[in-house]
Amino acid sequence: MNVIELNDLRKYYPVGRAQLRAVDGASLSIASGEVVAVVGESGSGKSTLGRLALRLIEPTSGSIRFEGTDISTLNSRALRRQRRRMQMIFQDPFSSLNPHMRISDMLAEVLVTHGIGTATDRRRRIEALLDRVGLRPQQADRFPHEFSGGQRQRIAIARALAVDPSFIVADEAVSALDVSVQAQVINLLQDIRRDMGLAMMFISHDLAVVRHIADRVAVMYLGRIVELGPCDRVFDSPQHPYTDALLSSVPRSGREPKILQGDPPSPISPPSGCGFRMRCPRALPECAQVQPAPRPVATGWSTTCIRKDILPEASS
Amino acid sequence: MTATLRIEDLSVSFPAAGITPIDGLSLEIAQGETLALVGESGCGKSLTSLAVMRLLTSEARLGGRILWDDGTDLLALDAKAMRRMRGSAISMIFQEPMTALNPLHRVGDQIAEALRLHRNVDRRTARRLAEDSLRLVGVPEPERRMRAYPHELSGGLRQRVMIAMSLVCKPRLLIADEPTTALDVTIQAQILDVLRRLRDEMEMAVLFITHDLGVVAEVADRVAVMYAGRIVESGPVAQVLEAPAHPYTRGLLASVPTITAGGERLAPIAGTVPDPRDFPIGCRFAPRCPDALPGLCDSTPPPLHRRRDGRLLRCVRQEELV
Repeated sequence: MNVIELNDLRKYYPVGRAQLRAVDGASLSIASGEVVAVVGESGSGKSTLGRLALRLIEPTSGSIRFEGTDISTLNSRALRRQRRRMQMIFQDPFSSLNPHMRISDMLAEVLVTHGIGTATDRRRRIEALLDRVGLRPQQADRFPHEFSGGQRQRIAIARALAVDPSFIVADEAVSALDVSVQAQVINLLQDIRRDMGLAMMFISHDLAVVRHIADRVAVMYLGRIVELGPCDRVFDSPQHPYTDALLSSVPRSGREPKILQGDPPSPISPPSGCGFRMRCPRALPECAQVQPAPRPVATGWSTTCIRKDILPEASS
Repeated sequence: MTATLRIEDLSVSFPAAGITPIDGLSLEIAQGETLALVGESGCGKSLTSLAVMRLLTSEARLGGRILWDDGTDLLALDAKAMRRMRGSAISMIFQEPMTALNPLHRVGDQIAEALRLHRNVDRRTARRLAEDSLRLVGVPEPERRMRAYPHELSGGLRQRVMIAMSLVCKPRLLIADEPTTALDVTIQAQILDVLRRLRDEMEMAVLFITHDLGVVAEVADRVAVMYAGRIVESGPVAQVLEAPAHPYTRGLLASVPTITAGGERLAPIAGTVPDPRDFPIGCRFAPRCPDALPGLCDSTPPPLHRRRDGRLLRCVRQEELV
């Protein structure tokens, strides 16, 4: 069952007389127990999409259905009731935790706000949460500065889990961590997904981490999802030239990197037709004419590239 | 083969804080060679580069020798002589170009200034060389970009400007401290390509500091792995990355997710990097090491030993572990 369904979402910001199209018609749904990664370069709209999914910012158009309810039109009180079931984990555990609050108070506040449990009950829940994310219950009365970066990210995860959510947006949640600690937190996220069966939108620029953690991947470019499909298959035979370029830019040994020239165009004045055509080595005159819609490649796999003749066929 | 730079037994301590974040560090870099210095945050890799540049604060106490190829010890130079080296024979590029460039000056003037400081050239020649330098690092329309301010450029272009500035005096040694960490992956690929090309064209020695093992594989000839202020393993890139010998290097490689395989569980290193106020007495990795021998590894610090296969390894079990 889909926990969250985003349908043709748009978010435009006015910039002088022009408009910045941060997200420009993105559709995506995530089922319970599923991790869908959203990848792309800075400015591609992936963080905006994550914030829209929780309705932390108002969409310009499009709908957001969460557990069957359209939350894009709810008033703030009804929205707050739904929010209990949706949580976010941010990149920087230094700025997302209140430095003046003990960990136990921080977690208790979440429970109190949402009216969960009695006082003694809460203490027990907090200890169980800390245990869940691999911290010792004795550490509950410490302040954030007494923890390392990795531990702080565990606290942020505990806080997100406190209300028993069914949907979590993790925005670059492991990007600020050192590799040895990052691996610990990735394993933790995988355990949580397995044990709690929640839906997760995993926003990241790190393609190796994405390959490791996600079931499906959505590749964004200039506010649009240009390719969406099962992680392993997209990584093995990308069906959009941008996905292909992105994957071959990742440094690794034993191969000559393909280098994509130039910078992404401005989302204020995107090119006509396909947003990638200016940097695309395979662009045709037709690419400038119509804005390509997603076309299916195989079951549950789509690309917006109109050319069927350039990338190795995905066998279905 | 003479080394452009040879560091011998370098130590950096801060007596006021009572810490010695780096000690007994030795390495060398030959002309035309790229040495990657890798490690997690706090291992001392950036401190090492600042020590070579002599850019540490006056509280820092430096020990050992940093030898230039003519035998000069950089640590013995006076401030004026060191200033002549910096930006000229040795130059440095940083992670975040926005903080390293002056936001109030046009980039062309900033590059030309470096030349005017170190080379006896007139204003017009300096501008011409600055423009050549922008062209060399692949900035499109260099004559127009000369007049741009840093904020008018994208992150990738800013990093190219920084590289142009650091190379305009044709340094013999380039120190690149996480030069691509703040960049998107497609832009990172462009910048790594520029750095590789320039190293070959200019025959520079490059000290490349990074935490990204994928980047190491792509740019470096040799790699030195640092842990808690010491080098624990060093050797040719292919050897170290494909058959790591030190338990820390092995742990590091096992904890990195790779783009070619998904699904399986990562094997993280238990625990966290020790604080310099609290370095373990014996091998500094021993408390986290799966192969540590009680009574041996936790009592005496292991020396850096040259193994039969040529690589340097700081581990008492060095011949058994491959």
